[in-house]
Amino acid sequence: MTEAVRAEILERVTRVVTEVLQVEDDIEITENTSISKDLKADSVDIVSLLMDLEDEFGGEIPEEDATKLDTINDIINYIQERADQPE
Amino acid sequence: MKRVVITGVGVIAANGLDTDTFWDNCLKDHAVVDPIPEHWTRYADYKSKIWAPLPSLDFTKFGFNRMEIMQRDPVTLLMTAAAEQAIKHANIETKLLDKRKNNHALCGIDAERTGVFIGTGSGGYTSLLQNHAHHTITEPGKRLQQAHPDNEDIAQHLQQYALSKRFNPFGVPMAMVNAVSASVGIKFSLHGPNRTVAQACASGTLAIGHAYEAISNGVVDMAITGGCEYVSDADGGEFRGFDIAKTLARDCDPIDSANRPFDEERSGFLFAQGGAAGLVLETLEHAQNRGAPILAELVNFSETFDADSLLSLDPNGAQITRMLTQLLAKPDVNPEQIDYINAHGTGTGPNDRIESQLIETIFPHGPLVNSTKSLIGHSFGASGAIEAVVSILSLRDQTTHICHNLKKPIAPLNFVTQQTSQSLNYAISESFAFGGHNVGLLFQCHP
Repeated sequence: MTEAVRAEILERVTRVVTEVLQVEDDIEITENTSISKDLKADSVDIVSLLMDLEDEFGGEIPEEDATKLDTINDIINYIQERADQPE
Repeated sequence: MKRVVITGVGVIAANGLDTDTFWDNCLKDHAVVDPIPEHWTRYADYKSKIWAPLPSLDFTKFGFNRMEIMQRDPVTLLMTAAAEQAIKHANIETKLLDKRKNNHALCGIDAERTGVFIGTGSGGYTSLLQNHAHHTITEPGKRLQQAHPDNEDIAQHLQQYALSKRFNPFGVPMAMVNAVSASVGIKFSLHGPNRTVAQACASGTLAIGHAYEAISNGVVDMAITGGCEYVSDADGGEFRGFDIAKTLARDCDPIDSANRPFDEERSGFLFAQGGAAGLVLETLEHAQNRGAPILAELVNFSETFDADSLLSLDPNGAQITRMLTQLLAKPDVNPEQIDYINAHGTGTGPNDRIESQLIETIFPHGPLVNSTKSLIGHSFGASGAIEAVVSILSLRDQTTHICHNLKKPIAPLNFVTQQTSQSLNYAISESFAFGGHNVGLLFQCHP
């Protein structure tokens, strides 16, 4: 993955996370930000977040994959790996 | 018994997304009727081909955030938005408690002494239909598409419901009927009794009645109440249900004249996409202590049940008569003191005939009569609450809207034919529902 592609995914993930979880302006989202710990998302919040990530990036995030996604980095890697897989 | 007053109202209807627009359009006789969506005709040949759609809805403009819009059926969002309008109208300030939940506290209001009473006919029914369609169509649809890869009609239909959408994980809380009152309670952090009532077309009226009882009996000091409906499922299935029961207004030329309650040429009711009305009710003392504006007083509520038919009014109207008699009993109001009746006035043959005969018999002195459904169609569980708001605003402004399209009245009632200044002290708003529910509210002008 090029730096530019990764940066673009980070920007899109950050935008979705910020909107769905209504992240306060003074909280900086980085690749190491944990959705559950740093942003205090509960299970219902995470379901909503995954729905919007599915809409943003297409496809479906199965439940067994969803449980492995905690940091922004996890999400970016997941999206990229899925994009790299052949149809 | 405590005296109960109305201090705030909010409306979302076919002719306006806020109270001022709605009321201004009512007084200007601005009615709404449109052809049904073209794609509905792919599924059935309907007897009626008209409806009253809401203006274009963008729920972000009502202040809802992304999470709320994802997790709530449109009926719940409509109700919550109407409640918020009413709360602002009642001069109650709100304080944001949680940005993610987007919930608020009502400043200066005891949340444990404030209840929520909301009526709806079918709640989040459209969410249930969407999820069920996805559940049943998606897998067979994929196989059908594989077998007929070039069939555009199949592809288009599947795109509509199945392949492009997920099985919504919030389907249950979106569809459950009590989501409408629960969501209002959550939005405004209210801990008093929280109740959804579902009595079809009388739901909104009954909810206001239950709020009145809770306040007058001292259970709560204040209530957020009202009614809501959203029956715009994607492919017109709900519309078809009423159409096949031969209850809907038939097309005519021009379509603007099709919806005509109490007219000899009436042919049924105009199906409305939905709507909502919210009201703030509180004790007179509570309103005075906080210096709230008082719009009108709610002096009594009454309900009876026909025990006769799920679909038709009892032709002799005995239980409607009893409902009205009870309604006038407690404040000891004589029938001739009633100045205005906001009728149920659907525009169906039997309903209008029975209702007009009863009004003529019980109120021979000729109070003003109109049908708000003549302007905005029939919005089911929302209608009674919207009509209660019309009654309240009519008392406040000492005028009311005309009975739209009424050219040849079926009875010699004092139908409103001109929007002029009136002298209105007592007003009745009445609703009758599929099932056999008869509900009335008695309002009095507050000086």
